[in-house]
Amino acid sequence: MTLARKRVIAGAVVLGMLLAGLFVARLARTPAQASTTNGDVTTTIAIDSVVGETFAPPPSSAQTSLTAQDAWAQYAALAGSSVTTIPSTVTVQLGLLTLPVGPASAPGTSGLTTSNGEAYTALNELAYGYSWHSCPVIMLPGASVSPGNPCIEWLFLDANTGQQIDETWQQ
Amino acid sequence: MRSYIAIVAVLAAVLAVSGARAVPAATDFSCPSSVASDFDGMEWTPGSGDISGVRAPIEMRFDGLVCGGGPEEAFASSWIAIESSAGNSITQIGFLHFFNSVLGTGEFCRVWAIDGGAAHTYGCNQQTNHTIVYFEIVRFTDPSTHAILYDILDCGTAGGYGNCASENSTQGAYSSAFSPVAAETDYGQSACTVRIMGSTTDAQKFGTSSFPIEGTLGTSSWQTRSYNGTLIPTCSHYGNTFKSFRMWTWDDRNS
Repeated sequence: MTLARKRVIAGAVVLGMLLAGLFVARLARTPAQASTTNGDVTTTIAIDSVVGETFAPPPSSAQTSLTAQDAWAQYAALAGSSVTTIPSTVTVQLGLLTLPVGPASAPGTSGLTTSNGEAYTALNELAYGYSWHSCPVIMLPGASVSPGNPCIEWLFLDANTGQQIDETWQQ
Repeated sequence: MRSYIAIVAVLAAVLAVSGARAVPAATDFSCPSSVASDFDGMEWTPGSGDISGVRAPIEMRFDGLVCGGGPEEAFASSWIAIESSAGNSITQIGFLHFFNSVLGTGEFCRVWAIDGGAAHTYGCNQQTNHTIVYFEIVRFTDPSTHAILYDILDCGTAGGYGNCASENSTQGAYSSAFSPVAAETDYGQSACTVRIMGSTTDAQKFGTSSFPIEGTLGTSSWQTRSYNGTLIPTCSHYGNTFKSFRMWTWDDRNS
């Protein structure tokens, strides 16, 4: 093989590697858009069994004022993020979020929804649940993510107002 | 040979201009491959362990930086807490600055946690820099079940603890407890990747002259308590000072 030919081959290899790098970089900067939700919640999901947070199937008659994409875009803008389209790595479901607070007799529950002696941040609130792979923020000193943790982050936005209800990690 | 070098140079320039990087602009740096929790604060450890309440105003700060891409989401938090003496359960509330990997940016939120400390955030991206929020945790007895529980309260920005909203009141009270008040991160220590909130010239405040950090012990009334600086950070950039029952924390890389 001549020296010139070796140079041509080496150049082609370097060119290919650089173009591949450029392609991967572009992909990372421009996430694919999820066109709509991935559907309704079909079976109740235990989001946080410690506090009793659940995400349940919505009624078939459920109507929303916002699309999942609209609510996401609104939240992203508030966060100052340029990721205003739902990334393909995010799963979106419509469901009923329930986030209990505790006994309705506790101090500070007068402004909350109450039912059967319990107070709630959200009680069967129609919400979009956006979930993706992410290991949790653990704030207990000395604690770490347990091996069995599913590492799923959830962002819940009201399906009618787009207001954040809760952002947490499934456990 | 010249043409080969030229091709490589042009493509390298194109790649650089494209702005390729693993982490979006909001962080500009990546987390290390392992978590390194670090704490900057103090603790109140009464001999009886019978802590029945803690409260303090905390100042929200938008300085600090969180990294992206680590084994867990990077965060810098600032909170008050009651923790079991065994160290296996915590009840806490405060602020959280954490990296949202799909939004590619840091979010500033209020946060509470119980038990194992998994965060529940609320009010994300609706906070105001330098705003003081009054937080309180009180022990109470549920009259219907007689269970003794902790109530985590957000008392807003108006000033004082007269108008509070409960965020959670399901954590069973600990038989013995202490109270840490701290700035915390999961990527600190010697690598010191995350910048906690506050700067040397404008530290993050826990407690004010009118509303110092306070606690209740057993059935006693609210009063200042013997917090001391036992949560000394490993990261040399983190600092704190405690005087007149207030604490200031900072990262000397913030301006």
